[in-house]
Amino acid sequence: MMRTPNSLTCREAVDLITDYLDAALPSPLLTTYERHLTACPECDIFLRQIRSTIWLTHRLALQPAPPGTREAPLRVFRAWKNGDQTILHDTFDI
Amino acid sequence: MSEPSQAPHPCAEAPANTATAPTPLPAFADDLRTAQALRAGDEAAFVALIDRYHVAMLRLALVYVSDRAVAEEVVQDAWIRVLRGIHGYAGRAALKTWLFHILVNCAKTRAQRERRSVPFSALADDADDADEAPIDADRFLPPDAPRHPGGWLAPPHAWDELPEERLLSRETYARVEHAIVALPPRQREVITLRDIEEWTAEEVCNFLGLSESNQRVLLHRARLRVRQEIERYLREE
Repeated sequence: MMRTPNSLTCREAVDLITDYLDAALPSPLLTTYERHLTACPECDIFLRQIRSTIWLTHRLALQPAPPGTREAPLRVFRAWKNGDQTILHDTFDI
Repeated sequence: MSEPSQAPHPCAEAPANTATAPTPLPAFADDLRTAQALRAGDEAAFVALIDRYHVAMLRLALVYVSDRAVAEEVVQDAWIRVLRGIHGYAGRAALKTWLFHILVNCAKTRAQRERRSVPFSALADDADDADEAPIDADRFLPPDAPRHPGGWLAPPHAWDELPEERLLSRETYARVEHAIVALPPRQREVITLRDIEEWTAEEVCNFLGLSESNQRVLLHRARLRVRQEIERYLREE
């Protein structure tokens, strides 16, 4: 449980990174945290690395879909639309 | 999984004057229009859904079933169930949420079936992350250190001093992907939805049934692990 600190150790600051990025730090703690970042180049570097990590992670979603991605689902759609039950036969039971 | 039908109860009286008693708009009117288009057999509307969600569905399915071919079957099955259930979608929840609930149900059911043919010990189950050792703990001085308790013992080195091609290389992305695949399942769920797919915290909490703080702890640990993996890669010659 956090005391309401006037200062943070670097370890504590790292623990707060995700709260900070989600704008979930309550006001006095936010001030303390930002003050720590100003005074601590290593923690600032670490925060920037977390930001880079998030950026790189999101880029996994930006890769183009492999060619032919639409094929199988479209087959399903056309079969469903035409009332073709054979292709819609479940591969397994729930 | 479908929402209750909006057909009027047989015993209800028709409103006398619909001009003064309008039907309230469903919360997700755009999604309802999409659903109506699908019901009408609009292929372009379905293609738009594929383009928007298929890859993300596959990615999420892989959290529950590790085999890619099985995951593709799971997604295919999910699409079938989406279409079969689309008549029941009434725009009260976001189509995305409804769709992904179907996807996760399919994935978890399939994972259960796969388990019956794989030794139990070989599968990572829903591990309790509460006892996980703190990540990067060895990079800090202990709390009882005589000087700078809790300070950096092994400080990070800036990545922006590296050439950009190194950071943005295909290998980096492969390592990020590998790091995420290696995460405990609950951490992987959260970082996949929050950071890869950019769902809001609220969406993720509602979808996974997590408290805000629980979700954030999982996300925090996941991000620290992925950061660590990137750092290890960048340190390699």
